[in-house]
Amino acid sequence: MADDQNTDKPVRAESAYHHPLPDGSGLLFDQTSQTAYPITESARLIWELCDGEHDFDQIVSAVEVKYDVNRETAENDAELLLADLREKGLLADRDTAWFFARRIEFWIVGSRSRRMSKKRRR
Amino acid sequence: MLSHAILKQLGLFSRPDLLTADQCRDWRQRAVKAEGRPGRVYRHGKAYQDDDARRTQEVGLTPEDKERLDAQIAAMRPALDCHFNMALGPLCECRCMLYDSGDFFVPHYDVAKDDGEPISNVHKRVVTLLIFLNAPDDPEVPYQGGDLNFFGLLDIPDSDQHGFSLEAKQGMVVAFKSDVLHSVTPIISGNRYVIVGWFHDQSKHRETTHGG
Repeated sequence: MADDQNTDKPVRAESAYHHPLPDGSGLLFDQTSQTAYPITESARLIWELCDGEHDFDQIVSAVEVKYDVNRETAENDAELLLADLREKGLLADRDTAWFFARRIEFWIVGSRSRRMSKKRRR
Repeated sequence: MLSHAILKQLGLFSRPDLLTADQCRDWRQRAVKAEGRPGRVYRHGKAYQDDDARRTQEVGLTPEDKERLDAQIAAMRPALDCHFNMALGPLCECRCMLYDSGDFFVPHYDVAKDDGEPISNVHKRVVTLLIFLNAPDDPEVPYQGGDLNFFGLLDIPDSDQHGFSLEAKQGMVVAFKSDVLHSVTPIISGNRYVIVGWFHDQSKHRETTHGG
């Protein structure tokens, strides 16, 4: 596992939607390709953690704990699924994810500094 | 195309082999011999022919045919009741639909919303039941096109725009809530035969004024 993937925080593509199914599995629907992909319950957990907040290691840990599997199995499953999701265009590409993360950071930092300068003016 | 297991979880009921090949052949032969009429659509309290919305021929069932159909679906009724979580009454408005080359049915609901018009059969429908009498890969009477698509099954934006087709099998029954948006894509070649009927909401007792 390359280091950049361990620290990468996958983000769901904007065109991808998740529909939960009663048995715990789900369907991922890609509006761009108009295609639905069935996913298992454990894949659904991984998908839900692709929120830009969790890195690969955190995702693997969540799978390990929830499904009581060893680290290696959880890593392999997560790696395969994330690669598949990327290939299907269901995850935002890394540059796009980075861009949005920076924009959010910029906005948060910017609003903080605007508040600070207002206070200073007072 | 989604698997039947997934479609079931999205609210559809299906049984792959309700009718045998011989039974399907028999129903098809009866339908071909009978005199059909163009299928109609229901709008603003009236049923009328609209070739831009629907092109198909429909054949009503004789009382004997209806009796035979009731006997054929009797065994799966408890499973139907269980799936839809209600005690379904008698199967009503049964007919056989014949789709010829070029025939289709645009996305539509089988049940009419309460539009202030007198309650008709179309208002009473709660569950649609459909039996495929042949399928695209049928060895005797294959056809191309004529996909049954369902819309609005997923809880996603613009869900009504996204259709999922069902893999038809000869003798297969499918049932779904009549307020599910669905369509039949144009037949490219061959003929498509289905039996359709509806379970009515037994609580709607107002007088019937229109057919389906």
